[in-house]
Amino acid sequence: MNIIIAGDGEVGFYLAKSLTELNHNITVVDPNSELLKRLESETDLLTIAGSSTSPQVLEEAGVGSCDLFLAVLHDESINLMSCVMAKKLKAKKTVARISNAELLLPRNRDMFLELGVDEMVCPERIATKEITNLLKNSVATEFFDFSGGLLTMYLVRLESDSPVLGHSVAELLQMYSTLSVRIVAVLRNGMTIIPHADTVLMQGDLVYLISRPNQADKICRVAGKSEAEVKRAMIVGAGRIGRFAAQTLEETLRITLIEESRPRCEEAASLLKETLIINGDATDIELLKNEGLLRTDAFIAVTDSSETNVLTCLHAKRLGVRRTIALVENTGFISLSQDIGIDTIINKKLITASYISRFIVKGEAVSSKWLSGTNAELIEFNVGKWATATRHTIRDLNLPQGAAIGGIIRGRETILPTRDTQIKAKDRVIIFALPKVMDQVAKLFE
Amino acid sequence: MGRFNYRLVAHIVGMMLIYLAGAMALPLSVSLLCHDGAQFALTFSALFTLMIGLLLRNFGGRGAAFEFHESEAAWITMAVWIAIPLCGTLPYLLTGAASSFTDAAFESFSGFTTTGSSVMELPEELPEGLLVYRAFTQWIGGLGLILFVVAILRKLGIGAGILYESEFSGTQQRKLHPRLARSVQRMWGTYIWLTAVLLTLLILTGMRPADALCTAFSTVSTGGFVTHSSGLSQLSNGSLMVVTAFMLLSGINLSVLFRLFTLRWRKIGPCEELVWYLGLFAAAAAVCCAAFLKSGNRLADSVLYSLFHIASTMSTCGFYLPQLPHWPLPVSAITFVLIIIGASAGSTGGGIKLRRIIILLRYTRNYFTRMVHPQAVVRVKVDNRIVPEVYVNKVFAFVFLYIAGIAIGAFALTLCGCTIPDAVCMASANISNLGPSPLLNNLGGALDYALLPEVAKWLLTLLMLAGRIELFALISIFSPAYWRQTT
Repeated sequence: MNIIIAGDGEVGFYLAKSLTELNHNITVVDPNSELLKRLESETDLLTIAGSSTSPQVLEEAGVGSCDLFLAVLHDESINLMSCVMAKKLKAKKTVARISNAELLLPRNRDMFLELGVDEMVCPERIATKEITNLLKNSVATEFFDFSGGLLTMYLVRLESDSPVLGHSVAELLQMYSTLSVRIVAVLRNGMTIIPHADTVLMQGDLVYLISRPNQADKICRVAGKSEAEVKRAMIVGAGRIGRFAAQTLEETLRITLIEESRPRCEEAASLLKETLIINGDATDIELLKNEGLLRTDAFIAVTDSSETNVLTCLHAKRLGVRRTIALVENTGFISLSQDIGIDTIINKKLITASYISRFIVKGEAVSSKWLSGTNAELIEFNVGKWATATRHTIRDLNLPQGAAIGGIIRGRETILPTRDTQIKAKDRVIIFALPKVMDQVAKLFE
Repeated sequence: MGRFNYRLVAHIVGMMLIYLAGAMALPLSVSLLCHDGAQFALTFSALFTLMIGLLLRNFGGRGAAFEFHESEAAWITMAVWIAIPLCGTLPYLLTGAASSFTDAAFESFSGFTTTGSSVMELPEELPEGLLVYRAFTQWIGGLGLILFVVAILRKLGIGAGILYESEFSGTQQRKLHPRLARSVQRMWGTYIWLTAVLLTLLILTGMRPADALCTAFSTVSTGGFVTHSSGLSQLSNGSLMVVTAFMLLSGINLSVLFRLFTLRWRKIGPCEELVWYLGLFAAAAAVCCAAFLKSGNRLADSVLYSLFHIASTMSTCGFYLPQLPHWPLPVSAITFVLIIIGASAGSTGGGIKLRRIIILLRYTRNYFTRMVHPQAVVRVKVDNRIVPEVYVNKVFAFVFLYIAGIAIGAFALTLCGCTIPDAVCMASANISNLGPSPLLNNLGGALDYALLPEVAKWLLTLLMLAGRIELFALISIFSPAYWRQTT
């Protein structure tokens, strides 16, 4: 696939790197030649220095033969303009990163399609969605619906009082025979393990499991913590994510929003209705305590500084706040932060990349999600009519190492597969896979 | 800063007087139709006003530099609001309806400020033409004389935005049209349309055309002059309901009404003031109705009268019904509170205005939040928009001045020999442009504007004017800082 990425910011850089790993042909266009030089020396791709709103530069980047044009600069108007031009210059599909969520409204969609912008991605909006999802469902620290909610993926951390510690996956399934789950991956010390039947579970494991919806309380018992309802939440940082999150959550929760910069407070004040907005320094723990940190059920740190976010979350955790979510932009921090006990890490780059990868994965992929903490991906495939996968049971399928089948959706029916399950044409299959084997997996289902 | 541009003020006032002379043609024609004997007085008034107007414009205003500064806006406002009602006294004096200049001035100011306080004991004995003139002055004053000035200034090619802002900034409502002239036109259109519909309905429900005209002018402008000493008691129940509905409408922001009637509903957006207005109306009417019922009135009467009464009070129209002479205590209490609160901002009604009340309440709530959370960033919001701190301060100043106005007014009236309840009621009713004394009598006293000493009448006139121009213009021309700036 020929992909042009306009913009070499954090998102662009990350996308370029990960897409190159997936064997796509990447061309990066950005005005900053210094950054491009660095990128080109690290990664196998083509860079062109220049503005993405210049037709000449676009031609040079081969826009006429490109399958996907991604505009991920910080400035949304440049992104939109670049997409419009790329489309006119015969790019097949265009995706623009935007910051104003208003553009995403369904009633504006046709206007942008007509202009030539096929998809729009708002990283802040996606991050907000993650945060609100996490708070809605307190058992799982991360979850994702497939096929409009027929199957759900949960991420649970095995706490010290979990009854399954020291038992293997097979034993777990025996112990909870009424519980229909499929464990697709275990994250231990930053390593992704695709579990076998005899993989032993340990305390602190982050377990990705696929199950039917409404199993939350059962899974909760396995994980060893009781489901707790979130009523009050404290958000630190009134950037876009903080504001959006407060706006969405304030209808159901009591929100306190803490922000150091006065103008940002003002901006938040004009947007929010019920939220209590405090102008102060979030690293000042006394302030947080005065504003009710001890009575908070969830603590969400989304300032611009990853360090502040991690530190304040740790502090909140130590003071007994049950759920902590930190925005960490530095990908190097992610596994570290999870090790030291922060429940969930939100990374704009990862989730934006995950979102954008929906437009990239070959074959019949319907939706996909990149998981934080690991570079693995969950992908939903439509099984093709003559696909290799329909010829054998899963046992004989020769799935590559680093891939696992999480669930099958057949019509309105859901199947949590065992080794003897047979995949049929027109099924939808949820695959958990590492990027290096993604192509092999995709071939099985074409 | 150069010298104060008094020639421009003379020019504007002159123009206004010429228009006023033109406006006198309406009562004059009624007078000619009815042969009521007032035609000569009205003709002479019109000619005299025209003459003063021409003199002022052509000699006083000759060579006026057509530019003015923001700080001179208050002078223009005051000059117009004093000159017009003063010339408006002529018909009362020339027909002999007013026994003294004080009485004529009281009546004229009361009309133009849409207060509706009257010293005419028996209006039914006045000539028809004069009654129409009296009601018409309220109608002219209803939208505020400043809207006329804005129109004139535009003719002169002066940016009238300054004056428009000073008059309407309080509502924080976007203009109805990108162009000022069109916005003003639209407001006038709504106003005229309301009046025409009401007039038709009143005639259809069986009123005499001349009375219907006066009542329509009085209702839509929320003035309150009546054509009969017994108030609206001789109206049919149908007419009463129509008047009730239109009083209620007249207390609503005209921009909202315009959008409502022209089906631009989407543009109205969130309108908390309207919600509060209707909510307060419903609640107050319900309590009144219950109180009337409890004191032994029939259900149908109680419902009709309480709706009528609350609409009349909230819109600061001031119509009254003598059918229910004895008010239960809750009705009096509610009435007094509603007089001070008044109608919606941007309407023809008076009072503190609900929007300001909402802002004050929200600010007070925020104050308590700040006490618990000293670092909280809280803003007063109305209709989901932040009300700027500067404006909140202005509201506080306004309400303080308003209460001070009532207190000082009441104090001075007490010195003139009124009882304290009477004094407080009169002061608040006149600063709120509510008016008529029979309505106030139900609040306890036995007062009659006609029997007041001259000083008290002038005092009330001042209060009406202060309430109508929302205090600031009046206060600012008395402030030394302002003098130094503009002269």
